Parts: sequence; C-alpha cells; structure tokens
Amino acid sequence: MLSPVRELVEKIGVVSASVFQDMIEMVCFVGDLSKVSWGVLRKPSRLRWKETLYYMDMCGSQAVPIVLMICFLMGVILGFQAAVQMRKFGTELYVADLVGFSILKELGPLMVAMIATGRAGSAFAAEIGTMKVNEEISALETMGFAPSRFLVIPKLLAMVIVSPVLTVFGDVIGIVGGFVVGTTMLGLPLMAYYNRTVEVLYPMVFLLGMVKSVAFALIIAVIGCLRGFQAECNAQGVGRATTSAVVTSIFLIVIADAVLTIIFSLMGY
Amino acid sequence: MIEANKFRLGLFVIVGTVLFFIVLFVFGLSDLFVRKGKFVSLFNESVQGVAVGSPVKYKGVPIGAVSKISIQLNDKLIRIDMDIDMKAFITNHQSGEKAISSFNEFFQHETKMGLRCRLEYAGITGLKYLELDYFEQFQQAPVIERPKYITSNYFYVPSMPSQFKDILNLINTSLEKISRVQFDKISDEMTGTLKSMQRLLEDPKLKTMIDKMEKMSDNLEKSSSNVSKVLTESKLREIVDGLDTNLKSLNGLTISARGSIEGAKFIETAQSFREAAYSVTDARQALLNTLLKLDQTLDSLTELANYLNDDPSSLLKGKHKPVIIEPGTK
Repeated sequence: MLSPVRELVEKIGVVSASVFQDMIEMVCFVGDLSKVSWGVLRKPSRLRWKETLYYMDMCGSQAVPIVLMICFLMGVILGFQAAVQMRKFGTELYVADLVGFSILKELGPLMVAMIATGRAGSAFAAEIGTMKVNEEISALETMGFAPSRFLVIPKLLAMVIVSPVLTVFGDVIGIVGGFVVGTTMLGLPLMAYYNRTVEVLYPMVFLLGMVKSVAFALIIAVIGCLRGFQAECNAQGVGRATTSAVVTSIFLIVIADAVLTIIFSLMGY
Repeated sequence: MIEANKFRLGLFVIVGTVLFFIVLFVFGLSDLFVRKGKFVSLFNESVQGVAVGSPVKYKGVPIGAVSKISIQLNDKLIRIDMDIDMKAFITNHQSGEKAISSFNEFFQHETKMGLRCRLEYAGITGLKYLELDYFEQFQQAPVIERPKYITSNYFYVPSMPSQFKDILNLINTSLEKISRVQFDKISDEMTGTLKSMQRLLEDPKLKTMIDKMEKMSDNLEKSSSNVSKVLTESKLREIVDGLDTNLKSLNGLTISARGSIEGAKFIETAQSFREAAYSVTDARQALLNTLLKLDQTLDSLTELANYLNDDPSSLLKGKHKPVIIEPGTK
C-alpha cells in the first residue's frame, strides 16, 4: 500500500512525463510537417488541391453564419457593457474605440479561432482518428506514402487560408454590433460613431489581427491532426482524441494570443 | 471524399477578400492617396499624453495627426512632426503646385499674425492633442525660433506653453512667494502679542475700569428709566404743543419785523447818512486846514517873539538890515 504522499508524487511524475512526451511528439510532428511542407512547396503539384478546397469549404464558407452571429453578438455585448460604464462619465462616443480595438485586435481572431477549434479542429482529430482505427493510415505507410502529405497539408493550408478571411467577416460584423448599440441604445449619430471608429482605428491594428488568425489556424490544424494520429485504436480513443484536440487547441491559442500581444506591444503596436 | 461546393467557396473567398481591402481602405489605407503637408513644432515642456496618431486641430477642426515624436539632442527640445491633410483646407486652387503654394502662403501669413501650436487636453483621460490657434498671450510667450536643422520642406509652427504649464508656473511662483514669508518671525511676534494681551487682560486696572464702566452703564440705564418715567407721553405732547405755539409766535414776529423794515425806507435814510458823512468829512478837512494855518501862525508868532526878545528895539526901528562888506574895505 502506497502512502498518499508517495502516490501524489508518483502521479505528478507520470503526468509530467506524459506532458513531456506529448511535447516531444508535438515537436516531432511539427518537424515532420515542415519537411513535408517543404516538399510540397518545391513541387506544388504534389498537393491534393481537391481535398484542400473541400476543407476550405468545410472550415471556411460553412462556418460563416456561425461566425457572423457570434461576432455580431460579441460586438453588441461589448458595446452594451462599455455603454453602461461610459455613460456615467459622458464618454459614450468612446464605445467606438473600445469595440473597434477589442474586436480587431483580440476578440475577432480569438472568437473565430474558438469556432474553428470547435468545428474544424475536432473534425480533423475525429477524421484522422477514425482512419487510424480503420488502419487506413497504416495502409498508407505500408504503401510508402507519407500520411502527413495526404492528410495534414490540405487541412493546414485550408485553415491558414480561410481563418484570416473568416476573421475579416468576424471583425466587420463585430464592429457593426457595437455600431448598432451605439446608434440605438446610446443615441449617437450614425456618422459620429462611424467617424470615430475610422478616426481611431488604423490598418496595422487590423493586420495584427490577421497575423494572429494565421497563428491560431496553424495551431488548430496541427493540434487537431496530431491528436487524430495519437488516437487509440478504438471508438473511445477517437472521442478522447477529439476532446483533447479541442482542449489543447484552446489552451495553446490563449497562450499564443498572450505571447503575440506581448510581442506586438514590444514592437510598439 | 465529399466534393467542395465551389460556388459557395468562391463567394466566401471573394467576399472575404473584398471585405479585407475595404476594411484596410476605410481604416487608413486611403491616407496613402491623400496629399499631406509636413508640419513641425518644437516644445520646451513635457508632451506626455501626445502619441503618434494624436489629432492636430486648427481652431477645433481636425486637420491631421501626429506622425512622429522625437527629442533633439542638440537643444533638448521635443520635436513633433505632423501630417496635415490638405483636403481640410479649401483654396481657390484645388490641386497642383498652386494649391500647395497658396496653402504655404496662408500659414506663413498666419504664423506672423500669431498662429501658434499648443498642447490641449482631449478630455479627462489625460490624452492630449495639438491645437493650432491664435492665443491672446502669444506676444508675451517666449518663441522658439526656427532652428537650422528643420529643412525647408517642413513648415515650422512656433509652439506656446500649454495651459497646464502656465498653471504649474503660477503654482511655483506662489509657492516661492509663500516660502519667502518668515513664518518663524510672524509666529514669535504673534506669541509676544498674545503675551502682551494676556498681561493687559490680567491687569487689575482693567478690571477696575470694567467695573466702573459697568457702574456707568447701570447709572445710564437708571437715568434713562427715570427720564422715561418723567417724560411721559402727555408731557411730551405738551412740550411739543408749546414749541408749536412758540414757533407760530416767532413766525408772526418775523412777519411784522419784515413789514417794519420794509417801511423804514432804508435807501433814503442811507443816502442821507452818506451825505451827512460827506459833510462831516469836508468839515474835518476844513478844520485840519484851519489848524494847519493856526499852527503856522503860531510858529510865526513864536519867531517874532524870539526876534523881539533878541532885539526889542526892532519894534521901533524895524527889521535890522544886514551889513554888506564892499570889496577893498578893511
């Protein structure tokens, strides 16, 4: 019978080893992807364009309605909360600043990434996990094909392309959400709110959001595919891989957001 | 493998790309196509609250933004570069070199007329903006002359100390004046004065004086009550009635005296008096002449008497003739 302290220490050790192993596998996977990506860049004909377009459609155009709705509501909520506080000081017009900066710099890319994690990341993990259960991946490897080139690169490329486009949709509709609150609830003149938004926002804010969305897309695609490859060969394993893909992606997205925000701040933006 | 819906995907990509460029254009990419004037101003005070992108206003109208903030090492002045949107100014020449020259002429003239750049608070947040305006105190404020390192392609606008700096200067001056006040000396003097007052208050003479004053006050009060007892209302009325009667009598007397004076013919009487006075004056003059003559007569008589006394025979012989000595006689 192990003492509780020893049991706790052992558990910590097991979890630490697991996390360490996971990190090593992640780095190896990124290395493998880099190698395959380089090969695809040298010979673009190797890329499976049909699948790439499919994933672009699935992760991009099919996600537009939910992105529009979530980001619009996010703009409305932000505008509403800001209006309640700013009205006390007679600074209602600054709602435009708050909504504009928050949506473009943080919430637009972040909310799109969360939606993409839920839709695409989980789908990638489930798809690859199922293929692993059906031993399709083993078959590919047996035939001498690199599974990453067939299964990961189209997903990765599709995500990197559609994520900024989705973020543009999210940014625009989020600002419109704040605009609706500003003009209806606060009674601000339509042009005053528009002029204030245009006055305070500048292209770099928008482009930084785009950079973030690309980084988030890479994380979602890589983690989704990795968890799929790591799935155990049973039905429960696929479910666990899907859950793990979503949780790990969200965790890494938040960390990446913090790191990028600090880097951009140090750069003076 | 399920096929992608190419129409939906194409629409998504096209709309997304168009939105991307619209957003970029609306949020400032359009500024790349706007012609801008380069303005520079130098400040000798803290520019905290101003940042790149802070608005520049001309009499409250937004005309541009701060493009750069830097420190000049040679004179330690803060240099603020501004991009001025020339579209904010309507000239007779809408574009081209003429528009730029008329724009430059306008600002050169206005700078001579007192156009200055000053930091102003944008609100309660501490953010500031640059205001170009004509300030009343521009003639008293020290002007930073255009340094040589500002090249000719920049338009130089002299700065004015901000109101905040004015307030700080005022506070500093006030504090300096307050620090000059010798509080120790004032305190010592006040302590001495208080001690003197205390001694004065403890002086027995003051107590006696106060007692006397109290007695006087009592007496005055008693007298007052006695007077009020004696002078009842009916008596006061009697006195007033008497005074009224007396005044009426005096009035009658005055009227009768005026009648008498008018009946006295003062003018004729005065003429008579005046004539009589003249007569007296003439008589007095005649009397004086008479007395003078009498005095002369008396002198002659005295002389005669003396002469007769010296020579009585002269009364018979007459007046003695003087002897005249001829020449050659011995």
